[in-house]
Amino acid sequence: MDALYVYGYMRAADAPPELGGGVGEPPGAVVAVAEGEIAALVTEVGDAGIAPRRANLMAHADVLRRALESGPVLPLKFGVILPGEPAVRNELNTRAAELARLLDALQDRLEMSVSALYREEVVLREVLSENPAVADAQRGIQGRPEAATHFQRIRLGELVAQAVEAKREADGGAILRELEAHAVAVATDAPMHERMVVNAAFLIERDKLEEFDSAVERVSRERAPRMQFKLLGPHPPHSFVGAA
Amino acid sequence: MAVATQGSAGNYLQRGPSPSGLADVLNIILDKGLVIDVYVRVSLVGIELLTIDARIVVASVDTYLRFAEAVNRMDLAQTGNAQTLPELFEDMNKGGAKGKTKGMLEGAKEKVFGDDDDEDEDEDSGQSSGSGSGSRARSTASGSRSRAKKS
Repeated sequence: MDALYVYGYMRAADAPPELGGGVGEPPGAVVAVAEGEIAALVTEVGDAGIAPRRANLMAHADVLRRALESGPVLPLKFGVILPGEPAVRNELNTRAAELARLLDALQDRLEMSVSALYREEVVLREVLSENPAVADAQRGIQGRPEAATHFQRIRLGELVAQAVEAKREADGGAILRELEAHAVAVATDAPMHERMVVNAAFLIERDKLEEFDSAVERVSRERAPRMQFKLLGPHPPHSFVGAA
Repeated sequence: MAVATQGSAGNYLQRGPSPSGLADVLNIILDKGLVIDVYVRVSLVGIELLTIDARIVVASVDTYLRFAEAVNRMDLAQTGNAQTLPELFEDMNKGGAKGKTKGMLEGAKEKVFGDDDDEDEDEDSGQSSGSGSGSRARSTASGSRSRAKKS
């Protein structure tokens, strides 16, 4: 019996007959395994499973996003493989009530991801002009060979990182406060880059998507000289199913 | 495909219906989603490590050295005025190509995905040139290191 890679769940009535290619090389077919009112979206995979590679990560996200066009979707964490269809059906049976509740709660609610990066030179000039200790440390290494100033460089970088962190708290907090007014919920993530100001997922009512987009537009435009924003979505509520 | 909004200060908002690069997709899906109580078979040793690496790097010596180098380099071009600087910036995710501080995800990515997985390069995340080292994730994942579940 073949192992099944599981992308996520949706209502059996919503599951589309055709979802294109999924994980695997070449991409395997995505099919719905329905048990009662819930269906799991799965792809047969060989005994070797799948590797944590770019194509498979993208496929996981893509399949769930395509499914979202047909109804609410509960994403699984990347990488779940069950030994066969009986195990999938058993999982759906065991958790039927919980999954149905979650699907109801997430009906017409979508996730949008917002991140922002400080513009490097702008934020570093701010840090230099606002922190005499950083400027001193910078002069201390100027014109001197890297090897001779290794620990001074680490110290300088640490001071810069602390200054950026303080800015991140103030700026990121303000951004979150402005945007969460338009969201059902917000889930913040650790910065994925040392100049990242904010990295958050917002759960948005479908009919508030435009309102949220306008809010991000306004927030980012106001901060254009200092930051660059990225707004991705809508996608399934990856960040809002884990706590269940 | 992401679309950048142009303004008087250059690109300030990039929109996209879907993640178009690996860095984005990692940020959106990694370590998120429902789990099954017993993972019967999961072949993803590298992923937990990547997640952990991703969250500690911001306070690492590597980061400090990158900041120090960036600050050091800056003085050479001190003629600039902050108001005109945005013009010097490329799209935020193409910036890496200019040898600016390398984001941690790119670093972590090399570690887990190796250098043999660069077909279909991200067009929107500054790819480091194949460092060649391409070390795969350490294969000694210890379950005890996994991060506490988000509440």
